[in-house]
Amino acid sequence: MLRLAAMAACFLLVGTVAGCAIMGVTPPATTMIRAQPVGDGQGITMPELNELTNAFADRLMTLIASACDEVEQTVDTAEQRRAAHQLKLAMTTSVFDIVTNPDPLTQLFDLVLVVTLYSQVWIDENVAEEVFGDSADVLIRALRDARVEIWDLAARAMEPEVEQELDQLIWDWRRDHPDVTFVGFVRFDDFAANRGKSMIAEIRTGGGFLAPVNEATKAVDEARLFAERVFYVSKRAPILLQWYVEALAYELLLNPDVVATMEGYQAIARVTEEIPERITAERKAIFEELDRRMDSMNDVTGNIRRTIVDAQGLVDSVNSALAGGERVAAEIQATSEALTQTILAADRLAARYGEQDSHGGESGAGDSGGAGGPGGFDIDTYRLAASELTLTLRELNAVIASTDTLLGSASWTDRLGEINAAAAQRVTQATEGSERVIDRLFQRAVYIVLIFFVLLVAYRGYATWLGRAALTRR
Amino acid sequence: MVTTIHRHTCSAAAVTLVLLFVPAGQGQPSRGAAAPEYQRVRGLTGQFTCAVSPAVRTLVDRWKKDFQRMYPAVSLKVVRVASSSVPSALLAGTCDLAAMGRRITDGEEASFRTRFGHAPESFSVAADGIAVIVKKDNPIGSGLTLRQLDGIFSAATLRGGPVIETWGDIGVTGDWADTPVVPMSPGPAAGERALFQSIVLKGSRFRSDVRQQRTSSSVVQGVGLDPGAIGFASSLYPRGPRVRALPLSSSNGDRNGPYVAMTRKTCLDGSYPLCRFTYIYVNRTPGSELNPLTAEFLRFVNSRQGQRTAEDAGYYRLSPDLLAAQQRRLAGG
Repeated sequence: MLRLAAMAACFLLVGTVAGCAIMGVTPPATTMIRAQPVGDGQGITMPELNELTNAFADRLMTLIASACDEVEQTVDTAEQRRAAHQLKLAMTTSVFDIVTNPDPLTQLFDLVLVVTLYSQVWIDENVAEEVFGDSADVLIRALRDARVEIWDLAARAMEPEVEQELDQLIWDWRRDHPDVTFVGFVRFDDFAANRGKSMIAEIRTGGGFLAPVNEATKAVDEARLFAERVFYVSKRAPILLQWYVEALAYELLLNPDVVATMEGYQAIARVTEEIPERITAERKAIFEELDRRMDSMNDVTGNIRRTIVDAQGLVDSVNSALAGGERVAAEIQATSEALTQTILAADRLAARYGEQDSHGGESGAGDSGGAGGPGGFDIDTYRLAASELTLTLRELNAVIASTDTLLGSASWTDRLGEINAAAAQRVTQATEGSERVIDRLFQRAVYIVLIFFVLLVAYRGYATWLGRAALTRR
Repeated sequence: MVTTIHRHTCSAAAVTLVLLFVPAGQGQPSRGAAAPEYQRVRGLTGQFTCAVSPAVRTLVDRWKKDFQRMYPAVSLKVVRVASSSVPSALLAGTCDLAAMGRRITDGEEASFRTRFGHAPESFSVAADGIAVIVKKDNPIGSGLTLRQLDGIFSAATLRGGPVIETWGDIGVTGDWADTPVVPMSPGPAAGERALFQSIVLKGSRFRSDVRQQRTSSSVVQGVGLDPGAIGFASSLYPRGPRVRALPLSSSNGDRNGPYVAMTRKTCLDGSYPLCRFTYIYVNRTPGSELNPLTAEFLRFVNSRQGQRTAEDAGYYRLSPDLLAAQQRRLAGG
């Protein structure tokens, strides 16, 4: 579409330029331009003036293009960039249109008019700052320089009073047309009720510093000027065309339909840009959850294993306790038996002492204390303790026997097996769950990519339809 | 020149009645008085010529347009000549009216007297002021005196003040105190330059560092872009938001003030020191009548409608008293 537009603009421009060059009004053949001494006493000839206006047009193009390009790079919005580009394009096109006029004097007046009006609108009336803000400085300087330069150029062909009159005439036009901001194609031919034409005619007939026309060389000069105009425009047309295409692109980008489509595209692009981040975030969350669960599982497994180890330790300690208990029981039994023997011996001995007491009277031995009544040794107390000790030992033996039976039983072994199996099952389930989550994640990513490509194809189709619709409207 | 006039009797009576009650002409605008209304006359035909200086051509062209709209059978030929040649055109008899932005000089008047035995008759037709402008954010306070302006622009400072180089020399303080004053003026062909030179500089030369711009509007723009700049330009040129006009004081002593802002009123009553009139001169022998086309055109110019046209062109309209007095002169011969 852009190629088509560029070609159309190319044909339009070439046609316009050719029209300007061929159909322009040529100065009357009988016109005599009075010589006015200026500086060295020489007037300026038409071909010289033509060269000067063409050179100025080139400098103006460079000046304005540089300024507008800088503004385009520094402003924030697409509207501002478009405005800067439009200013560059409109002013340059206007200046090229002017310098293709066959009459150099008309070129000069039109250049003065257009450059002055542009500087009035964009500088004096503050339009540049209103449109471009702080970025306008470079444009303001360029417009001011252009204005100063064109008036310096005008001074080479006009008397100072004519300059003042021209200045006042331009202001007067502006006073009557304060709302016109597109001033690039205001021309002296139709300026202020034909006063522009009369001013040019007056200067041509003696109101300025123009050198006399040599009738003998006039036709040659005109032919040469025509050829120069053709070459001048043909050399500069490609740049202008490129700017037209850029302007078309700006227009296209700010078309409401395209803006809406672009917003949709940008939304898709934003989503697309977010996909990797989302995948990463979800993957991270999944693995964090997985890690958390694995930690938990590891804790459970560790606890179980520690429990098993502890149980094993308990079994070992129970076994060792049983072994120790058996030894203790044997020792206690031996002790008990020894004690029994001792007691029996003591009993026997006490019986012997009892017999002695009943025969020999009281002695101090009864004050030594004992388990029996005051003054005597009671063996029953010791027998009772030995009986309780024996009972305790029997119960201890029963506990040891039952523990041994428990550890050696099939049900205990089965229980341990169940715990191990449950732990293994949880670990397996966690692994399978994480695999399923990852599978679902990649499935979603595939779906999003597919949706993006479907929308992209739809956008391309819509853009093509818009282009065809635009061509049809034209 | 072929002329036929059939004037409305009622209109003439009304105008006469009005003129009888109008006080003697003065430059000051009077309150409540209205400018005379122009009454179109019947049967006016013919052709007449007006020589104009470039400075007033825009104004005369506007009057011509309005006048010819009322009188399609009348042709007014406007011939632009250099301002120095306008009196010569009247002297040579090549024009019926001579319009220019200044009074004729004594020498020009003497030449006229020598040839015709009387001075050319002048009519004030519009006024404009010369604004002294600085950049909008210039902190200069109440205004400037003519002596200070002389110190800024003059090479000789005939008013006796010091040469002013920086804004601090005028009393501005702060960052601006060391900022150089950058004087700007329009080129030598601009009428306001000659008037400024005559009134402010008392005829002395401009300083060599005064930045001379090609045109008056370029002065306005240049001042708006240069922080230290000061310049002057006619009130005809819209000043825009980048510059502001300073009140001026005619005081030439140590005590400054009062400062007077440039308005139509202060211009016409003379309290603002830089004001000028635009004139149309005719060659009329005292006691005789003007030719009808010339008289009717001057009557239109001195009417409410003619002054509205001048106002549209950026000029100040004249006071009703002055207009009525000039109407009386036209009617009374």
